[in-house]
Amino acid sequence: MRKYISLFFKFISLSWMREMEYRSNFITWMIIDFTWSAMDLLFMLVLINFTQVLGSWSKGQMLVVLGFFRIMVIPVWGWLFQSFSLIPKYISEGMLDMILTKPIDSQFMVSSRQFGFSIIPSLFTGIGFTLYGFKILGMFPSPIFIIQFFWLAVVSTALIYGMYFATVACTLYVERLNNIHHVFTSLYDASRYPGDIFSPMLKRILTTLIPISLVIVIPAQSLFSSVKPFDFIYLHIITAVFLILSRRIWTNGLRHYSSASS
Amino acid sequence: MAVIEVKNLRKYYKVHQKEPGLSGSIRSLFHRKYYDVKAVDNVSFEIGEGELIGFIGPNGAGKTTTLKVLSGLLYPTSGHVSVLGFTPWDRKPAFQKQFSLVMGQKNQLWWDLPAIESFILNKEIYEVPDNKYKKTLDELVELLDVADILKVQVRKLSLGQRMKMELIAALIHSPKILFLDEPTIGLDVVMQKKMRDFIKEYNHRYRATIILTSHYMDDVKELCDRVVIIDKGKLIFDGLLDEIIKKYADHKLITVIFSKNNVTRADVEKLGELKEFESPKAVISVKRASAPKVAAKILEEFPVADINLEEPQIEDIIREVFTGKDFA
Repeated sequence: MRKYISLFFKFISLSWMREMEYRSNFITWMIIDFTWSAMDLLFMLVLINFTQVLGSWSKGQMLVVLGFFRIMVIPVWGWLFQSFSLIPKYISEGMLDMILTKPIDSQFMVSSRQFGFSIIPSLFTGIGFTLYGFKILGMFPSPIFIIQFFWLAVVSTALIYGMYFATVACTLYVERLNNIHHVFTSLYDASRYPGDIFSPMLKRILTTLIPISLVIVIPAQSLFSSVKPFDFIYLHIITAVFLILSRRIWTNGLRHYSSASS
Repeated sequence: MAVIEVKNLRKYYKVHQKEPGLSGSIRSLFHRKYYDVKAVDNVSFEIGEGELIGFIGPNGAGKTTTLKVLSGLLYPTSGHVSVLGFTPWDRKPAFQKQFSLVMGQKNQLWWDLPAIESFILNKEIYEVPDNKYKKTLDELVELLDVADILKVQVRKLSLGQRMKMELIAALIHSPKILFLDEPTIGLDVVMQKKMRDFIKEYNHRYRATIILTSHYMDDVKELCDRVVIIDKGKLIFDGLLDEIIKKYADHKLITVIFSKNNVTRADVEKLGELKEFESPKAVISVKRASAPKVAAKILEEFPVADINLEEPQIEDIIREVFTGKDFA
């Protein structure tokens, strides 16, 4: 376990060094990330301007959700997207060969090989939106709520990991599926909206088959109200299911891996 | 004692066949025809510790597929494979720490960083102790003469320099077995020679077992006593390089330089198969058994300035073997 933790940080440091080699690229992406945050805020404000309540959510609550969505850009775009978007390429071009020969778990290696840091502005804008949301709500979360929030944020990250990895691991079963990671990232955008705003059928899908609706809303909600015991347990169970599923898809898929000709 | 045992190895792939043209592409969207490709077909061999053997064969012969099975990347269709007592495709870390795979057309180095960063990463992956890492790195850097480029971004290195760095990254954990898949591909002749010298020295110094595939016969001739020839997935020869000549070449080449220009093509054609005729030089292929007699006849009946009796080039024999022609 110590070896894996040490390697995880080693990959982070190598990625940082790589990012620093191209400073202009890094700064440009930081500006783009900041612009995305601004666009998100603008869109949300326009939406809320027409109605003070969306589904059963108030303006302040929506801003807390949006703030958490932006904070989650750090693990989702800074880590998972950076590493997972390379997996289809590794598989179709045979670069997975060099990973599979290493004495280390291949799922770990492909999952943590690359990180991006140009999304740092999202952390600050996310915290800013959250605090602004609380200001509108006229409250601040208690320490218990904050501890609960951090735990649920970790579980949500694990659920996103499971769903996203299960999607990209499917590439092992076919010759080429280079853009499969876009399937997940497109769906992930829906996570910033409370499930209540969707039709009952879509809501059911987004909380069971593709439980994207839970990953942002439940942790964010835990900051301003107590989470229902059912939601709390359900989030943990579905996270375990997706983590096991993604592992199975990967390990079974490796039997189908045919490399690429040299 | 054999460190690599391969018995009746088979690896078949399903490949889809597309009819030509746009309509073929559209049809293949709905209905695909598949057929089996026998990449490796009932191959058996054993390799002892410290051997350096050459895998040769034309493109698509099954060389790389065999290496990929031996290194655990591919599951075989059937057959038994044991490398250092392990079943490769179990991918046990204890096995993976003892071998390395170097592919001339694939790299493991971090492209945007100096190679030294990849070496440090591999040190951690393979759990190489600090003092052993330093000693191994120093030796490899000296052998390959790359001290001055260790801290240069990989993307700024030449192909030859990059290949040297790839080798260091692959050897930092001192593997007992080394699979080299076309390590000299794309390199200039000077760099090819340097790589060969390094491989030879590494094999001698560390008694590492090495399997080398290459399209360059110079690599095989200079490095390998034993060769395995694979063609269309089947093993067609396994033995000493010299034995290829005995097995496939039942002829010798006589090169004659005539002292006068009055010898005609027709005169020489009577002696054997004329391979080359450019007066005053002629190259004749004759049956191995009758070679001394024909040489004597030439000396007796023609004005000879120089004569040379030689074995055919190994490249020519192998080329003929691959093209399925009799070499006589």
